[in-house]
Amino acid sequence: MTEEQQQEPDYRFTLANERTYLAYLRTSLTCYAGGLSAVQFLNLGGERWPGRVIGIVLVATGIITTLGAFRRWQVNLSAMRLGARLPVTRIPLMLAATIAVVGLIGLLFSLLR
Amino acid sequence: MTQPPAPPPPGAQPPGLQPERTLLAWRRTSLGLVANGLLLLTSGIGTSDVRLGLGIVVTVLALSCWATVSAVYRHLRHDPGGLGSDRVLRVAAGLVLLVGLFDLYAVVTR
Repeated sequence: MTEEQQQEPDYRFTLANERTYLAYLRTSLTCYAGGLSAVQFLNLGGERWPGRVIGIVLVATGIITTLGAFRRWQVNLSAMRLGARLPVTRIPLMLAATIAVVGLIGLLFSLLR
Repeated sequence: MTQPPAPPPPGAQPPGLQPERTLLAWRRTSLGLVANGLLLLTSGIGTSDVRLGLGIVVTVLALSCWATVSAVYRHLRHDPGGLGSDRVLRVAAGLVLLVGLFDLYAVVTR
């Protein structure tokens, strides 16, 4: 499709795309805050490394989400301009799996220490 | 199926609550940045000058972001595109990424 055939989408969809992007950014920021809190506040009986591993995984997940969010916003806008279907994303799956696993490990360490 | 509304004429306030919801989404995101700045700041107090410095930088940046969001929105409130110019979104992603890298440093050196 040529550039002339592209159409600017309805502004409501553009704003919804922007809000989705911001929701991803907030999720990233929450992952960062969770990572810092894990290192700062997770009391694992003097052991530092479990909290640090949880922190690194959470912050790394946040960084991937930040990059993915911007890419997703661009791809969505481009699809809307072309009148194509919105592409499927795996970011929420990655986020849910990481948070569930990290949360369970943190819980186990806290209970077994 | 409902037809989408015609785009508002230039200079007119777009109908509906979409711009307001988008502004609130920006405000929540700025608040998330402020929370990260303060957390980074407290993680450095009494332990590391570097983390303390990074915390101050992030907090100041986040508060500026909060003020800018309101100012830019006031300026652009008659633009149906709202805040979401490509450049603004790039800056937001860059800022969040920077905070992420600072947080990663704080987590690794803690």
